Amino acid sequence: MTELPTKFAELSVWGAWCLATETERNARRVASSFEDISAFALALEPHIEAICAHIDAVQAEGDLDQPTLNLFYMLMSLAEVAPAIESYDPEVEVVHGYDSKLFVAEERHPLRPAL
Amino acid sequence: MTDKARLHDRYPELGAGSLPVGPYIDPAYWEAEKKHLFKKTWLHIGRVEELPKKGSYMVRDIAALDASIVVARDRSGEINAFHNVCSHRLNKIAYQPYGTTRKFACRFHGWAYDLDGSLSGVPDEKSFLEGFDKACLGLSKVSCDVWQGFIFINMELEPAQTLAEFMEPMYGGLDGYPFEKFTACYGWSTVVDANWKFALDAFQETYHVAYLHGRSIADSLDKNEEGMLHPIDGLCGDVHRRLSIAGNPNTVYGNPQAATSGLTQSSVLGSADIGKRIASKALAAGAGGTKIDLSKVTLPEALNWTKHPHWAFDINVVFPDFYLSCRPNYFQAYNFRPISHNKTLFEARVYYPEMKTAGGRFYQEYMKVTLRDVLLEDLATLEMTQEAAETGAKTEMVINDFELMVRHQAVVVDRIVEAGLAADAAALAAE
Repeated sequence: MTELPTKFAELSVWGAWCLATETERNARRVASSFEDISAFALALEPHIEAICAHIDAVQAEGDLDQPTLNLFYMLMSLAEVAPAIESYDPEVEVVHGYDSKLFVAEERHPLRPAL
Repeated sequence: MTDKARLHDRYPELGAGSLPVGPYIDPAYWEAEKKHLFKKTWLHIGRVEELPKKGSYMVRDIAALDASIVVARDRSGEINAFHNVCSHRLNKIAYQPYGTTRKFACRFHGWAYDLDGSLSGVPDEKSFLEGFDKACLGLSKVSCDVWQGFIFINMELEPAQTLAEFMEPMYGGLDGYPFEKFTACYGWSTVVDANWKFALDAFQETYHVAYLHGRSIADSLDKNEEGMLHPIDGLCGDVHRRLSIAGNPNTVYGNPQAATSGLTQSSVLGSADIGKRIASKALAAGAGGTKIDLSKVTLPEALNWTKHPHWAFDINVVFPDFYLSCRPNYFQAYNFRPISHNKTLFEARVYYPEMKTAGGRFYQEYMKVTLRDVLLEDLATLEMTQEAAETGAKTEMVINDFELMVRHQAVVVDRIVEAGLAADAAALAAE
């Protein structure tokens, strides 16, 4: 199971969402059921402020440790599923949209933020 | 429409009739566009920040130019462009989309070129025959210049206009827009089976927003008293065009001040709906998250040229294929690079300010994936439009007043193509 900072241990059941790239996060979103992404969003949403505060506090001390980095990736996954929940309910993909797998993210663009 | 002046009235030279479909489906028309338009104008190719130091380079294969182009920063810091073709026996000399190097070396026989394209090394040079002159055997130059940090190339060795002359009439007023401050870039690309003009057309009118984007961002734009999503204003130049768009400040996506100023609570807060709750938390988390203080930036007056209180962004189409949408807190740079009469490489990039907080990054990720999903909506119609056009069932398209930019593009491209074809015909007759 993906390790998270101790105080967020209860979120580790959602550890499969700790994915480092947009491409991986989108692939997981579109392969999930709407129930799965909703449950993930409902579980994570109440913790947004605490998660942000924790990451900022660790960052102020230096580089992110792996559990905190995992937590950051989980937060990014919440952003990834948000449009589906907000706009495309009950679909996980863009309704009548172009296939996201064909719209390839430039993960290695030199100006893409490392985190 | 009631008694308000129509946009079309300002540009009678563009006509008011339906648009012929031929230019969107005819392979011969595409060949003429390539020859008379794309190979004779300035084309956007990237940002200077993509080439951060001496020896940084990028390689771009541009189908409309039948060329692979290397753009590199030389030892003096200048940016140069040249063909990716060795002067010896024509292999390529750069192989990666991005890189950093001291020299370009051909993998075939080891010829080496400096960062400015001059030939610097030839293995076994004395075996070449008399008259061999390294000074004349540099890489073939491509004209290259920079406007507001955007690198442009032009296949004409002596372009009819400088890049500054090309940009100034329509975009001189953008001086001072903080392009260089938005250095967090996210991009996507795809090849769509659609004509480049069809593809660009889908991005230069707001008529489609209420319907195609009805589930997603339609609420983010400002509606007029009749509930219609009309642009605030539009400008048609000799070749370039602009549209000014109003946003709904009570939405996250349409709020132009998000994450730049200290944010006040917007009406999206307090929603019981989980989707809206994530959106409002993203907006709140993003407040004050940028590394730089954007509240001190004064935007150029030409940006919101009508001074509309709900102005959200401008759409600037830099002729022929570069879409540049400027907002107070980020900009979008898209290219619709034609590959053939019915194939286009769509490259979309969005440039945000870099974020210093996790909340800022969460807001940015939310905005970014929302934009990507909206683009997936836009992309969805293109291939069907092309297929439908190619059936020949319709020979014309009907255009409303606020689709003026679709007309402007068609008319300007046709003017240039027809002039080119007429010049060819005159040259042939003279022979």
